[in-house]
Amino acid sequence: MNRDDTIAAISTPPGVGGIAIVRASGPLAHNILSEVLADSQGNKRTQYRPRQVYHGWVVDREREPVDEVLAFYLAGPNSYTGEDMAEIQGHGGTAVAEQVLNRVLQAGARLAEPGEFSERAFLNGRMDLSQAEDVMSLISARTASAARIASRHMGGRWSRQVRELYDGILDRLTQVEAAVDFAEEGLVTLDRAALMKEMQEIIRKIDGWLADADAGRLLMEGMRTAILGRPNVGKSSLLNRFCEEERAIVTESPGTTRDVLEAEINIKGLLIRLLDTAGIREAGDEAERIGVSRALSWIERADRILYVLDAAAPLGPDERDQIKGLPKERTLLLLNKSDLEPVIDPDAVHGVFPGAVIPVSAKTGAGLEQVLSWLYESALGDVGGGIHEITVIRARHAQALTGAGQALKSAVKALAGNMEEELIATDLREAALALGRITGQSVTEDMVERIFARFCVGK
Amino acid sequence: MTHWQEDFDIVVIGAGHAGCEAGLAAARMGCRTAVFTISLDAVALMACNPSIGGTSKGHIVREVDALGGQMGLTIDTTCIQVRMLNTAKGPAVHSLRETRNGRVTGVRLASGERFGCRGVIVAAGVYLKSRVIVGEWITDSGPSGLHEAAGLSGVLTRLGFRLTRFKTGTPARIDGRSIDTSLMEEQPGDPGVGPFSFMNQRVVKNQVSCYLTYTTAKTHEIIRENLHRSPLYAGTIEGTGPRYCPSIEDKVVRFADKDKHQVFIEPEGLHTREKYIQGLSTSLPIDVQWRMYRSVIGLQDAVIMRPAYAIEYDCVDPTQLQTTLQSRDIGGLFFAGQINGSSGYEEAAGQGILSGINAARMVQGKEPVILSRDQAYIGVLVDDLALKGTREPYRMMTSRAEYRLLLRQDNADQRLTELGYEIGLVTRERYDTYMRKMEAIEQEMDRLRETVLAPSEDVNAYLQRIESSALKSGISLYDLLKRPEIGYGDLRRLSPSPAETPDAVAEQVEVQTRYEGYIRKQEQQARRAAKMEKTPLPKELDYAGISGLRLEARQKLNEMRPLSLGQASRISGVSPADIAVLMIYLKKGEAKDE
Repeated sequence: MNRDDTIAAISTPPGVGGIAIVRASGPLAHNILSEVLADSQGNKRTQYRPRQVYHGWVVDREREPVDEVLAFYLAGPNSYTGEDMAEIQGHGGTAVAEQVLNRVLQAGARLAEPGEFSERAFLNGRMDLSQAEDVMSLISARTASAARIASRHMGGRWSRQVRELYDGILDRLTQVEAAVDFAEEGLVTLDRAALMKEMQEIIRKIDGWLADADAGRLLMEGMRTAILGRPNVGKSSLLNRFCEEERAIVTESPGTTRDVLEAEINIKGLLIRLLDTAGIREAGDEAERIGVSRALSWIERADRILYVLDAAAPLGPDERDQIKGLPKERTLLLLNKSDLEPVIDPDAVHGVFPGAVIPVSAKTGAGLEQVLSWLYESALGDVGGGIHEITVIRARHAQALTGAGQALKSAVKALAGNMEEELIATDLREAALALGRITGQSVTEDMVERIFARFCVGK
Repeated sequence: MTHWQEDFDIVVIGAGHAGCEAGLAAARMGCRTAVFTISLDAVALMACNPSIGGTSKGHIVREVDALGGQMGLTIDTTCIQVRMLNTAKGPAVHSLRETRNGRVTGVRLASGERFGCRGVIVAAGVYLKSRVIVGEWITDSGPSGLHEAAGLSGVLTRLGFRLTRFKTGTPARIDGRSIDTSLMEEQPGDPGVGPFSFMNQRVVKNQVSCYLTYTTAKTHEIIRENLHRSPLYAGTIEGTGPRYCPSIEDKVVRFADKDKHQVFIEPEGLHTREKYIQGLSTSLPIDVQWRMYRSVIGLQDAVIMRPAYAIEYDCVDPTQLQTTLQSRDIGGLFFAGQINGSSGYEEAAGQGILSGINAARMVQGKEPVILSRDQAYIGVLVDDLALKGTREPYRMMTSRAEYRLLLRQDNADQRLTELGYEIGLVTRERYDTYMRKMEAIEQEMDRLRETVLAPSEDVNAYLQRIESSALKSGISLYDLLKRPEIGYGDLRRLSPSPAETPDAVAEQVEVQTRYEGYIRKQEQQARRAAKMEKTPLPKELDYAGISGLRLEARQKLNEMRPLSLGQASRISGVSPADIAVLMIYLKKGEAKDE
């Protein structure tokens, strides 16, 4: 890993703003300032004291001024990345900021890759894994709510809470281990009732966090919502209608025409990702068969399903079988073409599908508001303290917490069943290991894989 | 040219529990081996206490045995058979010869004789510059009045080894005729306990009783009043003592709220009246000892035959060793036992056999044997010593082993006997015995799974008697054994096996069935960790050049040169964040190579 080089980037969002900030990190940080900056007399400084703000001009190679700026230098390891850093605050505007960046690059830096400042901060031990993940989430957040939650997490409160639990369990583990080893000497005895109570408290805490985990994940990653149904029930028209009304961003996956079309709609901070799928029917050719089976696979994979029926046609026997098997918590049945004379029997539909049903019209747009609000409520309606209080926002964390919870429950069962202390210790150890995976205190191979995926290291 | 008196493959210095196992292992693996000792009368001497085994220590004895070692067999027969090639009076080995390429070539005794060899195992125990301390009286001596080894410390220092000073102690021996056991609680031997060695079916042994008694308020008062005369508190003792095996003055100070402490009276042997007073080791002066021992219930007329003493000695900082027990810097030089900072006979024996194996492997030009943490307590012990080091005499405890449900006494043979056979240490006879046992376990497990016990009046009456719920429908014996209140003995009554099941097989079957869920959990944990254990670190890697590592980690890694990521993660001073950095570094290297 060669981190002898210096990276630089414009770290304010592109576009018009009050100021634009160019940052550089690496051994050349100080040199860069002495190279590109001049004071009001046009003289270059050879020495910049750390943590002191300097006023001056960024000048080009001919010493012509580029922008009037404030700049400062930070000496590693006391900086965001843990390395020497330089920061230049210039006037907003893409053109000017890019000129400043160009000067910095000319002075020996190279353009940073996405997330590279955070990568360095992580590798230099300036943040733990969980915090680094939050930085990455923040950078890739698509909605303001997701960004807000990520930035709140970044403060490390969540890490701290998990670490407290981790430390608490390690303490208890030590007690249990001591009881195993020193039982004969009569110096240590284990208060099983107290231990059980403590473990139950931790379990309650974890379960509380997990209650909102699904909502947290949907908020951070967006909610994949598949539109399913027979051909010609109006799936694509519905998607188009949503797009028109909600200014959706539409992307078409490459490949055959039968591949999924995706549209993203932001509802009060929740990103709904609508997926149009191939019509479901007895397939004719091979290509269609693949499309149909892919469409059906969304029943398992999607967070929510919008299953579309044609209200102006009778319920087909295939449809009947299909909606019978849909997961009713995750599925909303749409009776499309509600602007036409209804043919379908709503009671017959209810008879086979006990979940939510909404009549809609892709033509008039009727009912679409209700669909979106059902989707929003189904994701975030049950969150107790409001969406900004959601603690668990990553599937990985939810998985680790679930593992820890299970191990602790097993420990409580072992305690209640008067089982050997060695077994209780095994459970507590498992719980601690699981929690450590969140903060990086237990280092595992998959953690590194994740760092790779997120930081694009080595690419 | 040096003139050698005689040439050996391996020379072992010291004939304690480490030296005996080391010498025997090397010799049994076909190496011409010599063991040197200060006194031929003190071979495998039990100077500190008369017992072997106990929590986790017993596990090590089983492991030594499963590998083809001696300790278990010897304890089972209480008979010592080690053939010595040479002895010398006084500090036995004075000098290790080292040539310029950093390899051992021979040893020179204090008396001047020289012996050529390719490997040396230093198993010198607590004899290095040892001082015995009884209150204000201090003398240069080894344990039990044996000679100390005065010269070896200097030799090791000159070779570049860092030495530390540790302390341990032993209680007084008291004349059994002066003890009033009627005031104590008799602790008879447990008749159901099997032998240590997998080769023995049953121990035929005279069982003698131990006695449990307690200190009194008076005892604690005497100790508190005389603390200023305890060398431990007066500052005379510089060495660090074991926290887990504290002296009585330590216990009284550290557990001030306890008004009494347990004391066990243990016989020193069948043919002596000396009794070992377990729990009352001390370095207080003799006059205080008399009063203190006599304040214990039942010891009011006690006659001390040998006083309690503390002993202070040099040991080698074990982080200078590899997990093979060979020195990192000097080829062919191995260390084993208490000289590595461990405490206890069993810990010594475990290191002894491993050092003997690896010295022999070196002579044979074969890869060294490294025992992993999920394979043996010996693996945990050596891994801890070599990677973490120790600040006090290291005593094995089950809590040190993260996979302790896998490292059971009953399955030591399953973990190690095949390995022992492969390297030529386990005999054909032991291996066949082992294979037969494995087969019997498998057959019995199959029978338990396949045999369904039908509900009947007899069966349910029996179950009711042992407070187990009655059967309503048929249940496999296997599922029945999973009930916590049911043991293999109950199955013997309910549905006897067609052939009589040996105890060792029954034990295995019961453990495997009852703890199946937990064993599987630990196997999973071990598998997850194994990935890191199996990720090798390049031999030539310069950690100083990896900027993401903290400074301390760079220094430690460069010094210790761990073989795998797993080892690196256990070095003190290397944090999880450092390990993440190392992993990323390795990945980047792979990415570049592609």
